[in-house]
Amino acid sequence: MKALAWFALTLLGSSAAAAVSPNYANVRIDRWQCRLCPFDVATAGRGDWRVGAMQVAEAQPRFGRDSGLVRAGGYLDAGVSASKTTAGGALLAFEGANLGIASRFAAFRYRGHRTAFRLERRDLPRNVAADGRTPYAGRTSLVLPGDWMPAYDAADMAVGERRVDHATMRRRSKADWRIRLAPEWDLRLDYRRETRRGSGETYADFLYQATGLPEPIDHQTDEYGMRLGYTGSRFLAAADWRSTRFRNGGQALEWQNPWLWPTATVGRKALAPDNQAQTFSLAWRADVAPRTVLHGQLAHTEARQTASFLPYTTNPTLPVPRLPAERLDGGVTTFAGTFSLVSQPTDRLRITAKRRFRQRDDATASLTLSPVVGDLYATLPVERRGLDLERAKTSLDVQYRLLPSIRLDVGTAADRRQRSPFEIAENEERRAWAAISVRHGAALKLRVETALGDRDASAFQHITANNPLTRRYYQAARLQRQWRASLDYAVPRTALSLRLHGDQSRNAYPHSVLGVTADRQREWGADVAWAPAASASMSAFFVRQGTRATTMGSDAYAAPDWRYSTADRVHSAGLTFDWRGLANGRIDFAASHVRSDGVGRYATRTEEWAAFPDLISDHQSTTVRLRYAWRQGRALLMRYRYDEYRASDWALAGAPALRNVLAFGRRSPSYANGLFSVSAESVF
Amino acid sequence: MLSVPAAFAAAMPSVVVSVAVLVLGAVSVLAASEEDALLLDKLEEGNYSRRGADTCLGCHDEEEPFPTLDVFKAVHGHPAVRGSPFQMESEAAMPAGLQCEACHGPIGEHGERFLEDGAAREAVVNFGVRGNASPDLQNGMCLQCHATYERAHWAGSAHEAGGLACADCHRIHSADDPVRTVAGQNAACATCHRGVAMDALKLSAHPMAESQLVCRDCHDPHGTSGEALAVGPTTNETCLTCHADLRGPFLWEHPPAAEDCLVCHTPHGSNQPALLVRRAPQLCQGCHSSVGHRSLAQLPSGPPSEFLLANACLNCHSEVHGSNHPSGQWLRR
Repeated sequence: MKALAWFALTLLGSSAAAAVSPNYANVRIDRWQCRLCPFDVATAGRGDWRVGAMQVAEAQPRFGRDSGLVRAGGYLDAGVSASKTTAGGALLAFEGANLGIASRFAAFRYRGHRTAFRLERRDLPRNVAADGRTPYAGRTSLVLPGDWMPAYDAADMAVGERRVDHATMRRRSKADWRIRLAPEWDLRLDYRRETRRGSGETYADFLYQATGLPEPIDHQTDEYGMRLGYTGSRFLAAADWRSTRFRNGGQALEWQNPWLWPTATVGRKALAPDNQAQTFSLAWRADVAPRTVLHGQLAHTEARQTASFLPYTTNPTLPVPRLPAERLDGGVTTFAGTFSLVSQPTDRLRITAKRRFRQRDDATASLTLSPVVGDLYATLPVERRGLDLERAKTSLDVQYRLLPSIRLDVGTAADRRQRSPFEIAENEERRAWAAISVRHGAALKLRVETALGDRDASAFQHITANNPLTRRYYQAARLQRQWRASLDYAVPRTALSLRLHGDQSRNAYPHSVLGVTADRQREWGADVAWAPAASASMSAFFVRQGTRATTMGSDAYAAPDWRYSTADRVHSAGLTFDWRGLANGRIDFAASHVRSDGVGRYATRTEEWAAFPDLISDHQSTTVRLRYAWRQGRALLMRYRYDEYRASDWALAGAPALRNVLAFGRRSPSYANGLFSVSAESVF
Repeated sequence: MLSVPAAFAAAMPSVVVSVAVLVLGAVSVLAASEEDALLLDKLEEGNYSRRGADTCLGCHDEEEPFPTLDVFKAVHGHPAVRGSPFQMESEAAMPAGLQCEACHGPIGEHGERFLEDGAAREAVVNFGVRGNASPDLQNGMCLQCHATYERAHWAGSAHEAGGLACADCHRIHSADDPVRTVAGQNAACATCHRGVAMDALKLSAHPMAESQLVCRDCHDPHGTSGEALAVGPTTNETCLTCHADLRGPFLWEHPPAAEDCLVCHTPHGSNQPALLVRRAPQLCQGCHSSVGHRSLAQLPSGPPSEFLLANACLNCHSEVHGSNHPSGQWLRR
């Protein structure tokens, strides 16, 4: 009712004139000639191509994690872009980047008066590691060497030298066709196919002995979409239908048991099941009064999964009941929506009211199963638990322009979540915030904001085997305090600009005896940029980010008897120089150095603190670029990049010492690597 | 627990001091408002030039330090693109065909040939680094043409409510608008979102540092109905666009994965593997009691624990997003 009252008040107050309403009554454009307009520039074709070679000094997977530059040696350095707008106004454009390496990108687009289409291909490599070792051969059925000697202890196993590449390649192809049906109506059809192939790392256990397994990844996703859009002067709307099908090349991963343990000789785990989803959404915006806008979206998604079940166990000696069904026949519907009302009743006052909701219904038929643990023994029958979820968030934000350059902003929100069945069936969080913004043209922008949130939790129901003193941190009662500030300042007549920003969020979980009891995120940073001349600029920045959390634990059910302290902090800093037009306009020079220094400090305390070694990920990258134009439109490009990366992770370093985990033996990456490229560029 | 009003009361002294300092500081910058009023008056008055762009280009030619003429390299300066400011013989409604004044507003007395000594030239609506109008006014000029259904959620979105002007991100007098290119988009967004850009350099990150993924892949800066300008109707639907293998529904669900991916993951970059907010087992023990799973610090002294090392909890419970195996009740198969 309160929200409705606000809506009514807003609508009643919105009788002022529109913010921008140019008066075209006296303009006579039929007399305008535009004789000085260089329209020949508009229809000229333009573009550039680049071709050359690059040399990578060392083979380092992480150096080429996202680019594919993972081996030492030479690569083709090639790129091209070209566009032409015809005299009739139709645009043809082609862009190709990184064409000689694995992270290539290419796009072609056409835009005419009534139709437009775009074809795009993007390859996304992901190289995580190449130093893992496994005794297994095969892909979905992993086989040990013929002379494998099972053992009770991983130290007695000979892993061998077979390398595991933890690497995937995504190939994404997209086509998008847009047709203008009428001045206000357009139709968009799109299709996307994405394949992801390669291998990852997973683990699986036989009771308490775990084995690292190369995981086959052979995914394909096809997505079709259709959207009908209407753009009117006071009403906009779009209806969108989207269908997604995911297919996995393998449904199960089987592996030979490497352990000397009397369970099954082969293990089997399920891989991601095929699934499909359809979404229908409707979005709109209506200008309900001269300065009042109502917009929103409703989206209905239905996801289905009907992959066949695998057997309970691979252990033929174990008596297990019959599966209650051949497949899950899983279905989940999600209904999400947003309604927003934005109104500016006066020049000073602006009100934004939003209602956002999401409802997830698990319509999967209930099943009762008798899971087998470690292919060794069957548990008591257990019923599948679906998750129904409802979330509704209502917010009201009022901005008041106290002075022309000062704006105050206050707001409140109520966020309610309901889940069933679960220990905490309901959360309600109330938030309030206040902010002040100062803006003086483009020279000064200042904003200071504070917010408080208070999340309540419903009565705890002990319906799982979890220690009843534990509160899951995303459901637990929480008190949150946030501060955020930013300042942008351009020093007059100096081409010097400065930006400072900082924010902090502190959470306390007062009812959590076990689990996370407090956490904090903090970030602050500074940027300085200076352009002493139109052809020269330099900038520097520093960002410090940190998170901390305290988690209480117990080895018994009675009370907390130990706690974790976790802290991650990352310092990032960078410096860039850019000079153009040196040596009579022939040379452009740019250099940058970036460092991101991450440290994770983890410790536990029982009677006294025991710290883990620091987790380290320290990344430095220096890049120098030189462009020498030997004649008009022709240039030689040289680029040198030097990266240093140093990491240390106790979880990887200590893994080989585990006696009941056959791990991959990977190490944290540490390297120094360089890349040098020379290429010729032609601009036309 | 401290209630919200009580917490506000506790924080009030510092808020009051901050407000006082800012109000005093802002008194000196009131001049900005007069410019807006003048520009709105000019728009209402509608005193357009007699010769259109020929009036403007007589002064704003290639000698101009700001590349005015580069507008003709892009769609806004094309004489045949429907609805563009420079469309000749335009059939579209104004401001199409209004040339420079379509965006900069009527010239008024800005084009006076002779000025008295020391007199400033009358303002027109300027954008970007030369911006003299409020973001609302600047954006109002753009939205005369660009208020299409794709920007249906602009009003009230984080960028709009935060006072961002279109020209803070977009370049009009340029052959290419960097924020609309794959190579330039992430750098353009990083101008303000520096911390996010630095996330790309962390131990685990989405591939943003070299623009393999761009911000628009997950966010729509012009506003959406989702949280944090996410392109999907929900956060999970946004993530599932690329991670469709995790959609399920699974025989055995992991409730936080079904509820919100952000319970465990931080999407831009993390100091921990797999974009996790904390690492296992600490992350897992934020919800699951550790009974029977000794995971105290045993390093560097003492025997190592399989609940800490290698993949920690995931050494056994590897299917944390859900399992479709009949024996995957504890997400082990």
